Parts: sequence; structure tokens; C-alpha cells
Amino acid sequence: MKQLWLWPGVIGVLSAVGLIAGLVSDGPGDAAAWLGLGVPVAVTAWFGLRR
Amino acid sequence: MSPAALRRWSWVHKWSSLVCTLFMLLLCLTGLPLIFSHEIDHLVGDEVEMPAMPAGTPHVSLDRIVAAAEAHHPGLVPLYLFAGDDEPDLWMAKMDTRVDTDERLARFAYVDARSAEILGEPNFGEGFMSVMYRLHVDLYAGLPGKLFLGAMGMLLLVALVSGVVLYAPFMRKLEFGTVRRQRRQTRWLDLHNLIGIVTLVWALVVGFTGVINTWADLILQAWQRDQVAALQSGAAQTLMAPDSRAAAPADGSLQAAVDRVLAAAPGMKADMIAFPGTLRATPEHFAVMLRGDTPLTSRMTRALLVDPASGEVLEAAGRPWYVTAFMLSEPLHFGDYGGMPLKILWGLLDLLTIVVLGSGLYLWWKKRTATSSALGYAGGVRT
Repeated sequence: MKQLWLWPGVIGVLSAVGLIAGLVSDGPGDAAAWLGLGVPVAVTAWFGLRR
Repeated sequence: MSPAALRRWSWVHKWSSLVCTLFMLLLCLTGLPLIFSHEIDHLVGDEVEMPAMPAGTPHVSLDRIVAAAEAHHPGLVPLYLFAGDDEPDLWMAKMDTRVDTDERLARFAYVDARSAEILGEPNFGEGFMSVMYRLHVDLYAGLPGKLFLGAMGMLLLVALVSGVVLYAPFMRKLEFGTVRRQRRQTRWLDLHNLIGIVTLVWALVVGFTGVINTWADLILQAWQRDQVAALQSGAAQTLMAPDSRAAAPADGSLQAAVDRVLAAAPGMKADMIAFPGTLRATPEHFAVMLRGDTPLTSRMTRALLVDPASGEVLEAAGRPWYVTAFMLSEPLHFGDYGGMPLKILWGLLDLLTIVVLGSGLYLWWKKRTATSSALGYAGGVRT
């Protein structure tokens, strides 16, 4: 059970931090938003395109 | 999960998804260009050409701006003046036949703040981007169209939540990120689960804020009623009394009224001016939306009311929570608060959502046509 939700949970938290960080600060917050929301895209690309 | 619970959640997921999928596909497809509407307008030249003038050329009075817009659209009355986004010397006037129409047929005029010269009209009502906008926002059906799309958005939220519940039984025996490639159907099932779960938080936020945005008209109407009620009951806070000499006295002009608002709220600038009787003002007051200069305060506007006759500046009440929620839901839906990289990520996540919607539809169709197949859409969870 723990194993099942570990990565979805981590990715969810990173996305949420990214979504909020961009709103509250401009320079570092924007960078945090790019990283946080880049994670789901990168994870999809990694597992989806892997042969 | 018991087999009965699994069947119930599968039913919820199937029907909430099926009902909203086509509309969600439409919203994803039309939303994609809207993410980049600013850049697209730039490219196709839908931008105002500002006449060259020496830097620091003073602005003419707001009353001259309004007079120029009225002369440009004879017979129409002004509803709002919007400050230019990246153009400090530009106002955009929104005009209509009355102040209390639904504003669907409103006309616009760009006015140079330095000369009161008319610089053209935005073509909101025509062209590709306008079609995308209307299909995305109200399906050309006004408020009922918005509320309908809002209901579809709520079904999407149900589909997302039930999808998360179903993720556990589907993935119990698989490593995170597994995409079984032997059969087309299992591959799409695994991709549906993978992309669905990693984009979940973004999809929940964009879906939920989209639903809130469909209530914009209702939220603003409620705020107007609140403000009027606060004024009538004397609950409004006076920021500048009529006889205050902290700014030039009122003379009935818009400029004097706005000057008094700016004097009452130092460090802020006027972002939008709503004329009396419009949705954002009250019947007797101008409302001036102010914005600060930090990333957060620049999104959280503050609305002050000013009586143009007496010069009294009021704040009806602190901004109610539902208006704060609405104001925050705009950037979180549009993805316009983190520069171009965030817009690109928004676009990619939008495309991934299309994959989730499309694969869900495909899996449902396959399961439907292959009723006796052992490995159908729900077959993968049989234990």
C-alpha cells in the first residue's frame, strides 16, 4: 500500500508546491513552478516513451 | 476493495467520464491556443501601435479619455476603463447601450492616455481566437452555457476522484510507471493510469478553478449586492471623507474622483475603473480596482468606491472570501503567472489530458465491443 502511493504522492506534492510557488513569488517561485510542474511531464515522457 | 465497491466506483468513473469527455476534449483543444493568446495576438499583429512621444509625456484627464471613446461610439455609454497590460499609456474603454446589459455586444476602443486619440478597437468579437474563446467559455450561449460547462467540469472532478480510487486495485501488482507493451489495450490502460495519476493535481486544480470561473458573473453580482448592502447599512469604511483636503475636492469629474481614490490608497495604481451601475460598481459610485506591485498583490486587486459628486472614498467591506477565491482561480486556470516556461508546461499538461481522455474513451469502446474478452477495461482489476 505504501509502495503503491509513494510516487504518485511525491509527484502530487511537487505539482502542488509548483502551482502555489509561482503565485507567491516571482523569480525563485517561477523556477519552482517550472520544476514542480515539469515533474509530471518528465515522468510521463520517461515511462511512456521508454522501449 | 470489495468486488461490490469496485463495481460501484467503476460505474461512477465510467459514467462521470463518458458524460463529460466530449466537452472536456473540446475544452482542452480550445484551451490550448488560449494559453498562448497573448503571444498569438502579438504574432498576428492584433496589438495597438502606440504613437511615438517623448518619454514621460503627461496624461490628459480621464474625462477626455471617456469623451473620446463616446465620440468614437456615438450613442453608447462607458462601462469600464481598463489600464493597458504592458502599456502604461493606454486605456481600453468598454461601451454598451446601457450600463446593465449582459455585455455580450459591448464595443471597445483603445485610447491613448497622453492625447485622448483613438488608437483602434480590439477585435475580440471576430477571428480564430474569438471562436476558441467562446467555445471554451460559454459555447455561444451566455450564462447558461457557462453554467453548463461548469457542471461538466464538476463531472470531471468526480471522474478524477473515482479514477484515483480505481488506481489502487489496477496497480496493486504493478510497479509504478509500468507500461505493458504486449497488447495495445493493456498498453493504453497502463498509460491511462500513469498519465492520469501524475497529472492528477494539475488537472484537479485547473478543473476546479475552471468551474469557479464559470461562476464569475454570479460571484461579481453577489459582491455588488454585498457592497450596496454594506453602503446602505453604514457598514462601509470611509477612507476619505467628502471634506478631506488630502486630495483636490470633487467636482463631479472622473479624474478628480480617481485622484481622491489614489490619494486614499498610496502605493497602488488604478487597474480598472467601473462606471456607476455596472456589475463591479454600485448605482451611485465609481469603483476603482487597484493593484499593488508585488506578484501576489498585483493579482489581488482592491476595490474602492468613490462618489463623484461628494468625493467620499469608501471601502464597502474587506474583499469577501468568495471573491478572493475567484481572483486566485483566474491565474491558476490560465497558467499565465510563471512566464513562457510555465505556459509551455501548461500546454504539455493539456496535451497529456487529451491523451487521458482519448485513452479512456478507447478503453471504454474496446470493453464494450469485446464483451467476452477476458482482458477488458475492467478485466485488468479482476483478482
